[in-house]
Amino acid sequence: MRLPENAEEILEALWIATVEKGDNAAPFDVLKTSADDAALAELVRLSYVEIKGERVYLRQEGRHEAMMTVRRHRLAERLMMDILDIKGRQGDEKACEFEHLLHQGVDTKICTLLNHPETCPHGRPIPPGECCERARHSGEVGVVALTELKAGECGEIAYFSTTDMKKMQKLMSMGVLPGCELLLTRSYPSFIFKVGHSEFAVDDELAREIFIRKS
Amino acid sequence: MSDQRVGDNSGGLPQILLVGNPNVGKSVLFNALTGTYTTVSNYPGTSVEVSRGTCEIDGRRFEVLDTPGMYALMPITEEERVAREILLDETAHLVLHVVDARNLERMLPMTLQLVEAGLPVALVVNILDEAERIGMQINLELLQEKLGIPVIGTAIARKRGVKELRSVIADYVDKRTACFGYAADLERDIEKVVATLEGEYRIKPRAVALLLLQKDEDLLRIVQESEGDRFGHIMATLNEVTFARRSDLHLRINLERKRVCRGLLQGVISEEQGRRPPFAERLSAWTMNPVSGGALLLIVLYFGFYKFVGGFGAGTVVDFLEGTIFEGHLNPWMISHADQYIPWYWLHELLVGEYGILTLAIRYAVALVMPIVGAFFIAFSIIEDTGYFPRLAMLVDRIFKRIGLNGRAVIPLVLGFGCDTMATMVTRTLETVRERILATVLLALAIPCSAQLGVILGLLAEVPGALLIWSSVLMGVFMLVGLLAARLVPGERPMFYMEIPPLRLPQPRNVLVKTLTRMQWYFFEIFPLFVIASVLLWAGKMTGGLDYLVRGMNPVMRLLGLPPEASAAFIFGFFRRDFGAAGLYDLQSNGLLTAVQLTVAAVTLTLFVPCVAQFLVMRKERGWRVSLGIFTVVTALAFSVGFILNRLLLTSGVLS
Amino acid sequence: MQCGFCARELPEKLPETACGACPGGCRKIHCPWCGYANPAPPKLLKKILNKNIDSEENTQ
Repeated sequence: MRLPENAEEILEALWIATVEKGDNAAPFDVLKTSADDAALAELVRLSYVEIKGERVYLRQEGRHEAMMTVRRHRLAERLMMDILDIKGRQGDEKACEFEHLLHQGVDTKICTLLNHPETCPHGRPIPPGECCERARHSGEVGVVALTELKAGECGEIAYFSTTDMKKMQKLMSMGVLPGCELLLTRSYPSFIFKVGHSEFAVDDELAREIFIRKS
Repeated sequence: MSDQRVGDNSGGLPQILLVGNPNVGKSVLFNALTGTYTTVSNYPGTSVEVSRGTCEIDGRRFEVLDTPGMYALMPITEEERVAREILLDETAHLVLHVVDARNLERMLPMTLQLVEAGLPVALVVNILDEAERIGMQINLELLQEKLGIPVIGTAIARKRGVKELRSVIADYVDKRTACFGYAADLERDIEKVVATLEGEYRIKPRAVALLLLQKDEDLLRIVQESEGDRFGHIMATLNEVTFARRSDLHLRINLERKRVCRGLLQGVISEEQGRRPPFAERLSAWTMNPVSGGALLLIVLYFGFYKFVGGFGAGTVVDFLEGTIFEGHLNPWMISHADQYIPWYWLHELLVGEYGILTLAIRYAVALVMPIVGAFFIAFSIIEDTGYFPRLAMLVDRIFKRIGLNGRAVIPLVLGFGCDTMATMVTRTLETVRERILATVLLALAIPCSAQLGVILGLLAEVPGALLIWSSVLMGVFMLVGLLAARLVPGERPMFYMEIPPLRLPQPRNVLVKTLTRMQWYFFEIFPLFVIASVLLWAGKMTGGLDYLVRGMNPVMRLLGLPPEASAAFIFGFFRRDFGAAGLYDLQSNGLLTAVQLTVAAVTLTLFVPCVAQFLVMRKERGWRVSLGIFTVVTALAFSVGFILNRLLLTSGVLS
Repeated sequence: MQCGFCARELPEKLPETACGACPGGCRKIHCPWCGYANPAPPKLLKKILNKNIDSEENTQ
């Protein structure tokens, strides 16, 4: 069974408004829908959502589907940015089109390809899917951005994703090179890490370009 | 390749090449070896500078070349390219690979590459003292045995190990025996490529093969030149090998080298394990935590500046010098002598009058500004010597991003508290033009310089609450202007990266030397200006021009709710910020100001125009248009803020 | 001498020429790595600094 695209958009907006922003329900205008919307009616029929007056409530039955919709959207964003290198507004737009194609296991494949990312390019969490849980249980290690590391974790610098030579040279001129063992000691207000006996501070932007093979 | 070899005019002396990462003490070593007679020149066709000098050991003379910093034999930056070109072009007696003992494991792979290339290498393990301090023990004899090349432990900055190094240079005999084996499959690949090479190279074919496998473009060109027709065949072999592996050979080779190095260092390095992190490290962690770091900053500001500079420097010491020495003894004595011996009114005025050189310029410079600036520089030098500033940069980076700067801008802003003029000059080290303009604006507006800060701290300390209002208004203006300017000035977003050095215990001798140097510099800078200002003011008084100016300022003063006498302080401030603050001190000690008036005057004077010197530097660094713009905005803003603050304080009844 | 900001060793002789901003000669060392302006101690004070290092050397 596949939901229509606009129904997915409604579920997605509803998840963000209720689960992430902590509201108990969302009004029509936030969801960009109205009482006579067919897609909304479909969601009601599936008892995913409930309408009381002008506000839409997410029901227990709809939670999983909503979560997966959000997951697909943010995975699409990551794919655009990290692999296809489409950034900015164009990336967002393309991600919006792309997310609806990530069904029937395609999302799992993309997620594995991306090494089970935890956040989208805007920094919001990507709800973990079954594949992420499985990877965690089997203790798979992968290459992640420095921003994904928690304070106290360490790993080896795998590569720099930046295509900007200048940025790379700055990192290298400080002696931060692929193959170095790295220990993250703080992630706020800046990323502080140790390489050997030297300590370095970089901002989020640069941290996002440093990829670490966790150990 | 350039025909013009760097060592051309060496007169055929045997050469010593210094290579290694930047910041491992290469240039200090260079100076230790060569002494005073050195030359610095650009490497042909580049902007990269190469230092050259000679040294004499046991009657033999050597030429020493300091190459630009490099991380690996495969170059990425222009500096690395030049360094490698020197390595490959020169026939060296000895190549000294200088490494940082603390990061031996990270730097050893390059030693491997140098040995592999067949160069006559000796390893200099520098900064050994720091390594020992953090509990690292390095068995250099074992390392020497395993590497098969001379290994010397040094701490060049402390002149340790220089003698041993000199004897290694003198006694060096090229043996070149060591060879490091990689994994079997990689060795087979290397074999294949080596078999195709027939040309003459300065480095061993094995090293050429390794660089080719890593797709080194410069080397590909060299190979193409020397192999001629066979180049096609070499490329085919290379491509075949690369495709057969289907992996990044560059990464593969690097990992192999790391593996070899780990083996070499087995039993060489021993670190004290399980030791509680030393106190310095825990303190360091606290300084970087936003909560404890913020609290620590406040404590430092309170004791270091408010108590020490404002209380002790601007209070106790100034009271003694200004009140007891000058007002009590020197001034009356000078004036009475002048009354006796100087019949001419103009000369009398010029020396000991209201704006006299002796009674105003010297008194301000010696009794007011010097003790305050001295106290400030002591506090500043202590904090500087602990290595706290980079931590501050890291803490404020997020906030500074909001105002279009990044943590690095802490450098000019912190220096601005010493002297805004010099700090304006330092803004050129910021990366983007946008950051430079923003930092210049903030320096001109919201950063008081040390003497001004000291006098104001001393004055406001006597009025409860005034300091709080003064600092919140300044912080508010700083952030507001920063936010606005960041929106108005277009440009790219800044990026923050920085190495954070370990915290150190401040060395009394360092602090003393730095403080004295700064005070001397400051005194030389202000003294002539103070004298010139007092002569100008005297001339203004004699011709009546000053009266005219003061009368012109009166309406402005009235708007700010200040007495007409205050306009003098503002005119002083035009010459120098600290001069203006000193004028304010005179007003206050004569009891002319109420609490509200003092606060308003302090805020307005702090914000008020940059002094003449700062303006001139601004013009030099940013050009007429930008600097005049900043000047106008700053003046307008200073008086508007003063006006609004006066109204607010009067209507709310705070401080009165 | 170490840079007061980034703690790296300052080269004894800097290739850059004086910028001419200090009246009466150059009294600043701009760190080539971070740009921080360090005070350049005059000869007499420098002697004191170096004596410090020499005496440490002798005790080792």
